[in-house]
Amino acid sequence: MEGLMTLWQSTGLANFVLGQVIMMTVGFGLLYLAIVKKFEPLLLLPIGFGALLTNIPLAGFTDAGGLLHYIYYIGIETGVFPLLIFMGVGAMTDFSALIANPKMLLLGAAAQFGIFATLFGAILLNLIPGFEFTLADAAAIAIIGGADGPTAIFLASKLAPELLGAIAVAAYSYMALVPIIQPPIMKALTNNEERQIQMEQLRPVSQREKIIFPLMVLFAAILFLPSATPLVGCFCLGNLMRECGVVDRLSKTAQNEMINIVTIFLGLAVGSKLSADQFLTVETLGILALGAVAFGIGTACGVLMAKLMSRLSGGKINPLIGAAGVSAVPMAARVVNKVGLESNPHNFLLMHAMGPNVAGVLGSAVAAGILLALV
Amino acid sequence: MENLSNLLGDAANLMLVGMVVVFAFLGLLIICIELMSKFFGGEIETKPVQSAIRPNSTNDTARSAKITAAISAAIHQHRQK
Repeated sequence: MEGLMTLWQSTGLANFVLGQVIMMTVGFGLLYLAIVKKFEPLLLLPIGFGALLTNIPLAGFTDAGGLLHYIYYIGIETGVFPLLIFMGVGAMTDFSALIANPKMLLLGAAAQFGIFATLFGAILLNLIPGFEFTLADAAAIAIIGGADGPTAIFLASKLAPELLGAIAVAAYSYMALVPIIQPPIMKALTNNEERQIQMEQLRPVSQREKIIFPLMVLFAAILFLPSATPLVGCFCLGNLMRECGVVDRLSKTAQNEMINIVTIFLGLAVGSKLSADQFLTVETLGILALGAVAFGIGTACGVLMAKLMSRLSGGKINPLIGAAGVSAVPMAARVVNKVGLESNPHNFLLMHAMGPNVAGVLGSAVAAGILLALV
Repeated sequence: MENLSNLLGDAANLMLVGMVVVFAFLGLLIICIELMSKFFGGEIETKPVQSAIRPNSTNDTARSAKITAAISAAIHQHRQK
């Protein structure tokens, strides 16, 4: 009889607490979104599974000595995983649309207002009892508006590690929801005539320009914003490997094997932060709400800036492409293309939207650098 | 409460400085890119690879000559049967 009792005590059933059950449900929810709805499956699947593993009673995945504890410690606490992902993203990014039309950088800059406005909003939330965000917390939450997963994780791991799970989940969920969040904002701020504007074809860009570009960006970051160089540096290394044409093997590895391996472990490590005591708080609700606001404001500012540029250029720029300024590559650019096609079935904006889209990646890395330097 | 207004002040300050720096940095990049296009843009080196391919292609003709020889020998043998 005593043996049976001991056995019962070592089962999961006897040891579940309510929080763990809820968090496992959240984990299953993420798996559902990834597998059935195909929302960012590459990340939500390992994150959801990590959430399951971390809430298993008695298994101790996240205790010192557990697998997820080490993965988190090695990859995220040190900031290594998001930087490696950034290298892979750099190797996948083609900057020619931006080099051909550098003014698109202004759109990438305008969309970053979402980040800084949310920073203000996060502090304002302190007025509601139950919220106590410090400036560092607020900065880490605000970067969700940069719509860039690795940047958000990198900054959160430096500024507010205890909020990392909620921030990463919010960032990736909203990136998956870009096709739902952005179009209403884009349509509200433009009229049908503006949405039909056709843009001139972009000039071809020489290989030499593409090689010099990442070096130039890195050099500018070294001179003026060294705190952004971990992100910008890895990004530029990846991009240089892609464009220089002499290390195809490395470039292919960065684009495929490396980024895939890191994605698995990054997802698991983020999932390990979805434990009941850290995630089931009123702060998480606040973070989810602020993330949506950040996305909305970023999109709106990008579109408004594009409208301004359209006016100044005499109607040569379609204001829709401003929405792509909130990185979320390449989803945001695809959304722009789709909304443009709805107004004019012959107007393909995809290549034009890639310019502000990759500018947004640079913009959010720069914004992260500023927050790291000043908070 | 006073703490909160301090924080709000900090946040507003950060917002201002942040946006100015983001615009300044990316604006600087615009200038750099335009300068770069002026000096390095324009001509598109389309076929820098061709010279590298040429020695290979002589190899290829040698190889295809061998293959042709092998095939004609096979046909010859077949007809002889």
